[in-house]
Amino acid sequence: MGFIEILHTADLGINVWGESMEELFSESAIGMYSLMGINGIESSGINKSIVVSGFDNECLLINFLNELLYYIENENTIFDGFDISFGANSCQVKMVPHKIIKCRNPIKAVTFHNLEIINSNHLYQVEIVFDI
Amino acid sequence: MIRINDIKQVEKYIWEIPRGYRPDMRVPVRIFTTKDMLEKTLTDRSLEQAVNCSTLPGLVGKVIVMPDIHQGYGFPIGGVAATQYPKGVISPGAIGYDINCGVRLLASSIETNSAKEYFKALSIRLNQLCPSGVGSEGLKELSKKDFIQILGEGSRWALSNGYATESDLERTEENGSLTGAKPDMISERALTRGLSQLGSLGAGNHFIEVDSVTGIYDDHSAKLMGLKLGCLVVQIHTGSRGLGHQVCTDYVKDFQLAAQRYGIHLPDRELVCAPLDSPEGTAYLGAMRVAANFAFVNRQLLAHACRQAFSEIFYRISKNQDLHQVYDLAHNIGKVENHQVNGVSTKVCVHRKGATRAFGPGSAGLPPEYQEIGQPVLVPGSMGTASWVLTGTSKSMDLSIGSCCHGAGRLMSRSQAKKEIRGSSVRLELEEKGIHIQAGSMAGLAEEAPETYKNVDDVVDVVCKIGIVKKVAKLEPIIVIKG
Repeated sequence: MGFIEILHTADLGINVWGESMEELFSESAIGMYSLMGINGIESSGINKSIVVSGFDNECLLINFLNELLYYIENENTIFDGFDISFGANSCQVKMVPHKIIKCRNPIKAVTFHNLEIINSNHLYQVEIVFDI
Repeated sequence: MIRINDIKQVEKYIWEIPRGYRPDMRVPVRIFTTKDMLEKTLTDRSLEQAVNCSTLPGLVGKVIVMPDIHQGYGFPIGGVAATQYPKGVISPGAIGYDINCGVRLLASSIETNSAKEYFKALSIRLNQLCPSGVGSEGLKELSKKDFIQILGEGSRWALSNGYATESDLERTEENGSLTGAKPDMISERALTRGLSQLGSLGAGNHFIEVDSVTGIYDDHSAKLMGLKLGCLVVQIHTGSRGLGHQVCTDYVKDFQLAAQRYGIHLPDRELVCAPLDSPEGTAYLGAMRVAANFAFVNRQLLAHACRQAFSEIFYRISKNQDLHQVYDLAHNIGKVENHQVNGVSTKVCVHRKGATRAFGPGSAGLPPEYQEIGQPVLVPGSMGTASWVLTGTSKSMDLSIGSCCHGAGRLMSRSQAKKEIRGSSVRLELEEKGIHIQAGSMAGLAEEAPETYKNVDDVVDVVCKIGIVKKVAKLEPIIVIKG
């Protein structure tokens, strides 16, 4: 599993891959945080659980990442240790919170631009473009 | 990928991708550019994005692409498209996340040469009074009730509360208040994000700039606008901050299902849309107008802060420290307007993403003093380079759905800029030119370095030669405040 930055004229993007949908979602979050240059993290306590809804996996992915953006801006918090389980048109995510000291490159939103999760030879892959 | 042979030249600066290029195109794509600029444009996916946009249901006329075009997501930056009202669609992605990101220009009678020794103090004071940077919080503490009132009223609230003059409103697009704004159509999350940010600049390519008027090309228009050669002006570039981003995020998400329900299939999910007269389309229009009103008030509060700074610094050298408004306009917005379609006046929804309104003389909605000259059009250049004040012409109504370019347009990705350019070098180069910089981050300076953008003079030359706008004045920077 992993991610790599892709070039975009005005915004930012990553190409992400994983051996399962759970890995894909986790790596997408890690990739987004990496683009944002978030560092100086302190661990902060009680684990969080959220439920994200969406009528397909692409919607779930974008809605999940946009939730994480909301927590960055409004609670100064990022997460790791993602434990993701998928249901019908939803996924539950349990995650470990950490307070942010610094965020160098804010991302305003996660877009649906060219979004398609491809499953080929048991490898899930997606390209995500972010608005900055 | 689109190639140069796919594009036909219609006139010297007008090119067209015909409908036949791809079977799902509903209208052609018209590109305003030179051959050299077109060849550079073909190195990214911006024209492909314009072709994708041409598949939206209910489009009329053509998709128009300005010379500052660059790759966006869904719709290219520098694009304009109009859909029939009310049966055509509205697309949140074709308007953008920073709803009503736009520019305000204020002018003064303070002579640049007389003010030189105060520039450093002014830059510090502006930086103190105008919150900027990542997560910057606004000028005022507001109750939720007051905030909702602001979102409904736009700049009229600012006038009632002593932050604006009548002239400010008259010289703002739509008088700084879009009718039909529905605060109950935005989410609690959008409200929360916006509540703490009203009156703040933000970061990225947002800025406040103090410039000198270094060239006048139309004496009469400049006089009506109050622009004086060798005097100071202020530009404010910002938008709807977290509130606008959340509105767009919420509705792009909601429209994914709506598009399926209405049987709309698009080549890019970011272009997702719904009919204007559907419950979803109506809700988004109401929410988008709320975000637009936020941005108008945001720029108004920052203008108020700039006026305070000018007053405090320049009372020593001038009896008149006034900053009067030239104009304020949006460059990411959806507007319901009347335009000629096949010779018939037709109500359409104009989507402008990285493009500005540029109405010609005699147009409804212009203040009396601008009726004879047309609407001012503001085109800021990249950091440290010139900006332009133009006026719209009647030709813009014929050729470009009453629209014009909005800036210089990016050439280089932000990642590449940070690898190749040092923010400290950018600061040094600008300071050597006599430009005072207040910046929140060196990485931000690198990303916004002049060489990452097209030459704004070339962009403006194209739109002037096509005839959709005319030059009025050139501005050159003295102070740049960036987040």
